[in-house]
Amino acid sequence: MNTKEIFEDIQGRISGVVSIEEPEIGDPWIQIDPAQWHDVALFLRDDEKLRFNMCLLVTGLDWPDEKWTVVYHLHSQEHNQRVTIKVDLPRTEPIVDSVHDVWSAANWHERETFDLMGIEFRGHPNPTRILCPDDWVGHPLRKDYEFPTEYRGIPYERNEKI
Amino acid sequence: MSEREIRLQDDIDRDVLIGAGDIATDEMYINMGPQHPSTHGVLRVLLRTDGEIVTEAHPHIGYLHRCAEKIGECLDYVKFQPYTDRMDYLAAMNNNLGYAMVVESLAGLEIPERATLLRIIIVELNRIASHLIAFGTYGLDSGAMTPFFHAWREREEMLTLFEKICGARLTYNYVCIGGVVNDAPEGWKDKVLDFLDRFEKRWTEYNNLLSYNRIFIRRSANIGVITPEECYDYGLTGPMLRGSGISWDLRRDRPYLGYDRFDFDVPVGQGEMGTLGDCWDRYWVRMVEMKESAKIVRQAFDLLETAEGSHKAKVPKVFKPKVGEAYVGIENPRGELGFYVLSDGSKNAYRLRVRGPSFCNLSILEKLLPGTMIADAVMVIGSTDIVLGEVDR
Amino acid sequence: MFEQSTVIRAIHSTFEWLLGLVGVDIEIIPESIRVVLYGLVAAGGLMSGIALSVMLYVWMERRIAGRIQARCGPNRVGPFGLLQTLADTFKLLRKEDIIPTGANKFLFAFAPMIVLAGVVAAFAAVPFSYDTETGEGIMVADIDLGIFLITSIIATEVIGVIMAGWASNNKWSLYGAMREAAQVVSYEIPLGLSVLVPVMIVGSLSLADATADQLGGNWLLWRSPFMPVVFFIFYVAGLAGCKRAPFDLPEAESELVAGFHTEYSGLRFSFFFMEEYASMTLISAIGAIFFFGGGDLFGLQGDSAILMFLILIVKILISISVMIWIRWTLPRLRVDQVMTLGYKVLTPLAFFMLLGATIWDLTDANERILGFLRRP
Repeated sequence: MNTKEIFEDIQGRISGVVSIEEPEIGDPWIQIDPAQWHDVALFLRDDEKLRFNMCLLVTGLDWPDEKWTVVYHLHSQEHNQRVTIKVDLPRTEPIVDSVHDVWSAANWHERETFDLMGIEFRGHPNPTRILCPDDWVGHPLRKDYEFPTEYRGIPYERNEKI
Repeated sequence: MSEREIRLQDDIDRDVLIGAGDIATDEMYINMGPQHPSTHGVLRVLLRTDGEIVTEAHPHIGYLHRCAEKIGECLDYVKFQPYTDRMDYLAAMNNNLGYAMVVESLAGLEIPERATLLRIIIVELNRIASHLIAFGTYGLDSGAMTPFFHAWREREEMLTLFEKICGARLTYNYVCIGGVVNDAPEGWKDKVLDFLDRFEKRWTEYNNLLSYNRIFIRRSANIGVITPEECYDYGLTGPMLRGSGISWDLRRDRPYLGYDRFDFDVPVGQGEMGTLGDCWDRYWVRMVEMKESAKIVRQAFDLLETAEGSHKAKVPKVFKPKVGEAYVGIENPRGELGFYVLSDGSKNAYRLRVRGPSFCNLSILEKLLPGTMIADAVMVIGSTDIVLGEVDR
Repeated sequence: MFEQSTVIRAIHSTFEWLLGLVGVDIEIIPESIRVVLYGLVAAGGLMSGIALSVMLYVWMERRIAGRIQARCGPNRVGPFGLLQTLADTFKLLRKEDIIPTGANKFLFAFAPMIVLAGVVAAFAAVPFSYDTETGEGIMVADIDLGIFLITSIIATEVIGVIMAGWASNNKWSLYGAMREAAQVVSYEIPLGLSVLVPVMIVGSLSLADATADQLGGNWLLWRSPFMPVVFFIFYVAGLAGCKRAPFDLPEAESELVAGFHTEYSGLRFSFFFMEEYASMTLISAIGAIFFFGGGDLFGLQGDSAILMFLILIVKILISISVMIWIRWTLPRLRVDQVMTLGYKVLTPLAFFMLLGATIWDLTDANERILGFLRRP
């Protein structure tokens, strides 16, 4: 099944499926309501026809002054099909349900997304930074991120005389 | 029984085993890494140990973090290409290919046949080189140093071949957007085929030296067993997945670059020496994959004889793909390498995300290590064949 | 005491001659002082002999490893790279002597000495050659308890290693020390049992007697059908005793960084290094003397003590080459597998061999079978 067929299939069977978006080029994706994302995730994993049993990638997107988006790339081993899921979050509150209990693979990806993008995952067992040091300030992949001039006394700014 | 009851029962069993009551034992935390000979880079695993037995393990990563994704947003598409070399530096060609393919799919570029075949040849050779390291370092982990040097000897020859075609020995930047940087030089094909002949003979030597060594089998079989369900759950890909007996290879099942033209087998773990999905199975999958890659290279050379077109498509100097996004996953030596690029129509990517296979494969350590011994922990970490440059990106 | 040992006697007569040159009678030096003096000279001789041979072994190890691993090995310093180890020794001497902050300084500094001293002391009871005229072994201390002394004295090495591991204040070192303690103590049982069989056949604990017994090709290895197996047990247990691969768990570099000597550098590290090679030599020497006739080569050497010495050295070198070959070929065992091998395989096997060899010897089976075969 391609994304369109998947969308048509699940739309009636579970609530929370908002829309399907098809960009000019590249892959289409399915938009999911953040409030029901966890249920939809379980459904996607367990449904006979879908069986999206692998979570390949979790990505955070920053749309300044607009919204946050979390992108999930899912893969079904059984049916050899893939789907892209997007969950939009309000700008003021970048929190989404964690799906680490649906796919354990999401655990580290969510930590990374929290670390670099600052999106929080509700119910995550270990919501700490994974790549940056624990005392790092800010989330580097945000569009408004300002690079620190120093970290623990190590200056970043290069001396012009060098 | 509830989990707690099971744990209690385990405790009782263990107490009977070690004769608790007579001896008071205490657990201790011990840091394996970031400077440790067999963490394959700067991985740090915090172990809680009861004597030699690991009861808890927490991998800590990020020592090599360069925020490649941010760099990807700040540079235009072509300029980011060399940075992909630095992620999985043992399979830099594969990384180049993954990134080139995702940008091409955004830009809608058609790749000439000749370039495609050259790409296949070079990434398969790089797969052999990468698996050679996996084989050698796994020998090191088990305490045998000689296989490492033998693997290094062959890898040295391969690097010389790479140097002949692109001038670099580690970070190649050879596969570029639109094709490959330059065509194979005169006589390169013969050198490669000559090397493959020698390599296949030596492959048997490796097995006699390490794979079928009884001590090695005792060390690597039956430990670090991963069930197929765990594989799916943790998103394991590549030899980690195939080691558990799941026949899945992106090259065969979701073909790209026309891999379906080639005749090759996808080796899977059989549980030959112990349990299905143990460290030996994963190791063996890598060993067999080397031979399969050699097979593909030979076939690709045959096709290259008659291949049309140049080694590179016409590529505009500045890319400005339309608004859209693409995810491309390719079969890297370590598993599925995914590049997810989001374009907003400007010359830089709006968001670039990398799925490093090592990153996902590493996350299962937390589950695999408890219950093993320290020596096993080293073997399990070795069997995941991680490259920290890719884990931390 | 001067009657007991050829080497001490030789030192005594050398001193006598030297002092005679300046016209002093050696008897004016009190005997107690002379004992210490001669002991020191002998120890110094042993020590420098071991240090020199260690240099040779290290060179051998690196060259053989190089060949096995399809590379050159050291070949620049001196002919065939023979002086490479000397150069490395100077490097080690000049290195900074680091004692970690949290370490117990006294134990940390003391441990390498204990480790080395134990092994070097054991060489006192090893006959390097045999004097056929007087029927004495050429050795520092010709005592009746020979092999008993050796096995007891090398056991002190464990104490040094545990001290080193504990004093380093490093958990990896502690692991190494604990593994060493467990491993060496458990492999001393099969080692001791396997040595007991030749001792029983010879009827003496002295290594010199064993050499004398085997002159003329009458090697212990084929005195009884159990001996080859006994030698195998001895060799394996010996490998484990000197922490050589595949039993190098105490310093398992891929697991424990460097085991008990993780925190050691420079000269102190080189002590551990020397200890390893010295105990390899010791095990090889005992093996050669107890199983392969010591300095005997089917009687071809005649009565020459020097030839016997050289033959023994060659046998030791062959044994050490085999150890090197094993080390660079096999992976390392896991700690529980090492224990299993020691307690469940080698120890029972050694007991059976001891029993079998005893019965064989008591029933004069050799004679009976030979007699049976010779019967017309």
